[in-house]
Amino acid sequence: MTPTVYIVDDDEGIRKATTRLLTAAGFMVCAYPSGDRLLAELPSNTPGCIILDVCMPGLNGLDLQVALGDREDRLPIIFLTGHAAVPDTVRAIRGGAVDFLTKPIDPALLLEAVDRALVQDAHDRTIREHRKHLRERYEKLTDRERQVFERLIGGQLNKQVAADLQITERTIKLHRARILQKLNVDSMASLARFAVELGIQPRRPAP
Amino acid sequence: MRRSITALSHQIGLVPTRWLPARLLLAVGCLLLACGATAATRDVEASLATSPQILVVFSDDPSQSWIHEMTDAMNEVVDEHTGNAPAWYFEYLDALRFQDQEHEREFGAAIRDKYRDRRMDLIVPIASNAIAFAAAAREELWPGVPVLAAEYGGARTLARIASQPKTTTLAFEYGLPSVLATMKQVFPDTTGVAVSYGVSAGERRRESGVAADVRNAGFDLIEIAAPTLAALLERVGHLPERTLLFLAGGQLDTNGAALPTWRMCDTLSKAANRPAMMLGSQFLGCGIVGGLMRDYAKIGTIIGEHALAVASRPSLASETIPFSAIATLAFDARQLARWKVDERRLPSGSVVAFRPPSLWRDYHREALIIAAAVAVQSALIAGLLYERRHRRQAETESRHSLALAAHADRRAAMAALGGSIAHELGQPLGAILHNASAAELMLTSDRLSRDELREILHDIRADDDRANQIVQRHRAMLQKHELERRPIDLHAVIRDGLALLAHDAAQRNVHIELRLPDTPCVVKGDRILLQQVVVNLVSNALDAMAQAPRTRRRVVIGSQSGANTVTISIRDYGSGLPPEVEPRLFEPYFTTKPDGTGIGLTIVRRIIDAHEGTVEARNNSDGGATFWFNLAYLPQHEGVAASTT
Repeated sequence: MTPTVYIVDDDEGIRKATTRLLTAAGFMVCAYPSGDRLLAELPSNTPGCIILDVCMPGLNGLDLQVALGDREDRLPIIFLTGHAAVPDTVRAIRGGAVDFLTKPIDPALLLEAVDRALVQDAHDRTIREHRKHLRERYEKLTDRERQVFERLIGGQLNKQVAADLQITERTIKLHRARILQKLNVDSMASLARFAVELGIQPRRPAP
Repeated sequence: MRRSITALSHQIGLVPTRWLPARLLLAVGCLLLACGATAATRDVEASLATSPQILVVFSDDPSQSWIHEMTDAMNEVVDEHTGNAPAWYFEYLDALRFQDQEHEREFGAAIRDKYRDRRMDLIVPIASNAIAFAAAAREELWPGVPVLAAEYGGARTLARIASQPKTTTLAFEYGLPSVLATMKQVFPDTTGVAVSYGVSAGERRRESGVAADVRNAGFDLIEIAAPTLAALLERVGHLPERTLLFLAGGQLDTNGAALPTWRMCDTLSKAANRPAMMLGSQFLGCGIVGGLMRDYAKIGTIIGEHALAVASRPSLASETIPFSAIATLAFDARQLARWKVDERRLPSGSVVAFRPPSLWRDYHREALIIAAAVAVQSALIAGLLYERRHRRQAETESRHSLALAAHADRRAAMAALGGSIAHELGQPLGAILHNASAAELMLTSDRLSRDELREILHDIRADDDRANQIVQRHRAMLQKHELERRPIDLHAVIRDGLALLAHDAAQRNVHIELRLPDTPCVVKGDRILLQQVVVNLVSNALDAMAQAPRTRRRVVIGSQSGANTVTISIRDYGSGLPPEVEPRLFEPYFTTKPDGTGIGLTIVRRIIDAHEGTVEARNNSDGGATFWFNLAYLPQHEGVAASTT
């Protein structure tokens, strides 16, 4: 699937010129006059990036970033701004902006930024795929297996887990073997990495 | 003197103003007399028997003016004690034309027949011919009736009658020597006197005493007796220098027909190359210079009074009346001017008549009042003009100071919007750059079509125009500018003003909602200054919403057309106007903002004032405040000036 560069700018001249520039550079371009239009019309789960003017009437760039952040398949955003105000920049970066370009925008820098954003998007997309697979595997675990999983990655010994869950140590060992199998990992270390990647909080033994 | 002048004045139709009161009294008197007229008529009939009956015999014909003067004066005479007036009878010998014995006999016979049934109490012959006639005929015509003989041409004939019984004489001094002396004073270089006797032989004979008086006064005598009027005019027109012309006669022409003496006087005076004089004061105004003159009205009065006295007391003594008692001293202003006589040379007590009408002389009180009124009015007008000029000047000054203050305020406002110009210019400049880069890219990859290139160039040009407009708009706001009022589209002005603020508004997350009709709204005003009003009011609205929640950050701009005015409203949803701020809103240097100058709204008011509009502000019921301004509307699009920058 060819990545698409989504441009949001209320200024028609800029919109047209930027579209023309990116098209000439070989990108697929789709331009919108406002953030609302983008939110309404952005297809889901397509590769690409978004170029946003920070300063726009209506939904401004930062608002739009917040709105887009809610989506699973969020695209990297390149912010364009007349003058970079520090608080705005920080906010934008925290929100996941890949670039923050100050006007006048150097076309070469813009193209580079778009390239970077698309690489980022591809990367994000791979990670998202990987996580998706992990999640799918994780979801195969039974509730009991998940309880055991959380305690194991928290560093508890089989004996401690068994005491905690008030089941026998032998049963714990059985669960552990099934977990490793279901999640397709071969060691406790891999199991720990899996948990980190999925963002699963370990359950520490009670003091 | 006073009486004679009044009479004179009446005759010549002149009333010197200082006798206005006298004239008024006279008028009032006439009215009173008129009221009592009916009663008076009855009294006259009753008193006829008791009033003295007096027959006056004149030497001359009744048409002569001096005769009228005398008869009029006599008719005025009233007995001081009884209040009775004599019954006057007047007869005229006309002796100049009828000088034979036969005529006198027939005249006497006619009188006898005429007065057959009247008993005269007194006979008054006047002047030499009449005196001579009376002296000869009185025994036959009026036996035993007293006679009062009056002579003003010299006392010569009086001798013939003075010795008769029951005779009283009244001799008036002839007065020519005094007359000549006065003339010498007025015309000091006079050496000769030309005496014109008219064209008839009789007059020359009668005035024979004149020549002696002239010589005795030390003047060279020129006697003019011409057979025809033409010859006479020729003679008087070529008199030597330093000569005065004395008109001694002129009652008759060569055929013996009576001439109005005033006409002779007028004709001769006009033809003369030297000043003319005459003895009778009634001729003043008929071409003579004037001087000391014999006043026949005075003579008439004196004769009348004496006649009344003699009628009751026949034994009254004869008298000689000095010339001064019958003389009047008056001059004709026109003749003085003609002969270039300095009025300061006139003897004291001279009356100068016939001045060219002069408003000041005749109506000085009225003139004064009118002049005062005009002066007051002029002062008022001058005052008003001064005031107006002053106001104009003040207006110009205030306009100028408004322009200065407005300029300073615009600079401050534009400085505050400093980021906006960079941003605004960034848009078209960025677009141009991207378009150029795109074309470059297409060129290198050999994918540039002709059509595409044309399109790119078109867009570049459009963006360049846009950049230019932005620069112009800002420059216009920054330039010094004097108020100029011309038809402009207020809506376009508002849009321009908002363009300046668009970036600032976006930056503050304020949504500006423009609710203007598409039709132009034409007012007479100054584009730059009104744009400044919009910028200031909208900036104010933006400031007011700094603390407002983002969802409420909205400015609504509306336009409402009234019958004669258009109202522009700028509504915000901010904190509203605190009550203590509202009344001081438009005061200079009053501000609630930490970095405010306090001049923005003052400028707004002054600009709107200069446009004869009004501006006001009020809190909204649902929060925030609304500012309005009103401007008079030009309903007809009288040459709308292009109002977009």
